[in-house]
Amino acid sequence: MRWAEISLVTNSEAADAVTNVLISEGSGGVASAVSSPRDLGNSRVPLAAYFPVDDRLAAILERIESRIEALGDMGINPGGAGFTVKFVEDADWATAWKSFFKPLVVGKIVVKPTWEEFQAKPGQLILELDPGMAFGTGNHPTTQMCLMAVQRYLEPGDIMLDMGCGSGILAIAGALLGASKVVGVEIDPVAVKAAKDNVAANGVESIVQIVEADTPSAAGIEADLVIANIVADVIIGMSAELAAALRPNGILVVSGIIEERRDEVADALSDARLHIIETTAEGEWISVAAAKPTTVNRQPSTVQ
Amino acid sequence: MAKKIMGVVKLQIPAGKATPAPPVGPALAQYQINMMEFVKSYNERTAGQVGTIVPVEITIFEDRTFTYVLKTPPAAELLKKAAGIETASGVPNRQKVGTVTRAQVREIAQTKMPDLNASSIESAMRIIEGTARSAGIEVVD
Repeated sequence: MRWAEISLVTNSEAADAVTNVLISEGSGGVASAVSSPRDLGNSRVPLAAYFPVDDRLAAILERIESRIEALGDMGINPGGAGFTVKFVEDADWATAWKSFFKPLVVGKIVVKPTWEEFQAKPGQLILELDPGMAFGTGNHPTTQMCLMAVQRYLEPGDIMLDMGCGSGILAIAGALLGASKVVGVEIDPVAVKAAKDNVAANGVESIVQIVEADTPSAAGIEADLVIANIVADVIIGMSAELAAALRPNGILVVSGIIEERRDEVADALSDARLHIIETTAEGEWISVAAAKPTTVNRQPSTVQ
Repeated sequence: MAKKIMGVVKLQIPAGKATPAPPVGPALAQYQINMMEFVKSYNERTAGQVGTIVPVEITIFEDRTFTYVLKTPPAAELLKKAAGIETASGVPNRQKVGTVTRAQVREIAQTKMPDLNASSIESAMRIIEGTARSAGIEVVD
């Protein structure tokens, strides 16, 4: 099947009226692509509509042209740029995206989309992942730094907490690397579902538990390794709670932090009585590992 | 995670009936995101509004993950509802299919203000009135 793609540029004032013309002439909807959210307030609105290429097309195009022109008589200035028509072939749009996700090797972990084939070499661990809509595909530098951190700091038998677990990628990595128990905490119900599916796809349900919540304490564990790949503001606000979820000698790894926020995050971790042991960077992103001392100097308690 | 935004796509599509066919397919294919995931989720969230157009704004990140928000219905949809009609006029100059009051126009203008980029409620109302006329809906006092 072939489609005629009608593209035109209008303005925010006329966009709804033009859209109405296009939809009432039979387009199954109208698309408008902008390169950044800043452009959303822009008065220049590009629109695209699609019609099947058949013997009705010529008449439809004529009507669209005259109806858009007529908007001027109704007090709406449609921009007057006219439209262009391009023919596009029907494609397998629904699955085209899959070609972007390829198996990704991060240390000894291979993040493998569930539909891809991969022959693991000795020592490699396959992590099955269907990215869905949730965050955490392994393609982002912060996820990769965290995957390396789990491999560096997790000891077999450890208990791990993944705060803001997204697709569950880091929590599952923990299980594959020998954690005895992993709890992934995630605030977004869509991500929680994807994470649970991914946990099942990797057969680690007996080790990994996914909890829908927004605080580390919801995990109900004291962990040897806590990972929080979120954003600087959340990490800063949560640092005391993240530290509290650690066992003495435990390690906290935080990421999702841009370089400019490095000092603020370091201060927050120090305030939470953690010692920074490593900072890694990739591009504009950093990841910070901090340890909880064996003996914490307690604040003098207030005498009533 | 704070991720770099690759693009934003706004779609005006029928509630509960999105498919990977145009316009959804070609609009999202260039960003290589998991389209079925979007389609399923959108249809589920808009199932209660079948028969209307529910605009959606999809933000796509550099690692091909995405989020989306549903927006207010297009002015033409709100006008049709206010006028109590099913379909707008294809020949608005000759065939009038309904009427709305100026108070209804004001109400719709208020609803649509955030999306219209209008400087005042009066200019938003002018836009809504124009849209009404273009759909064959008369504005009466």
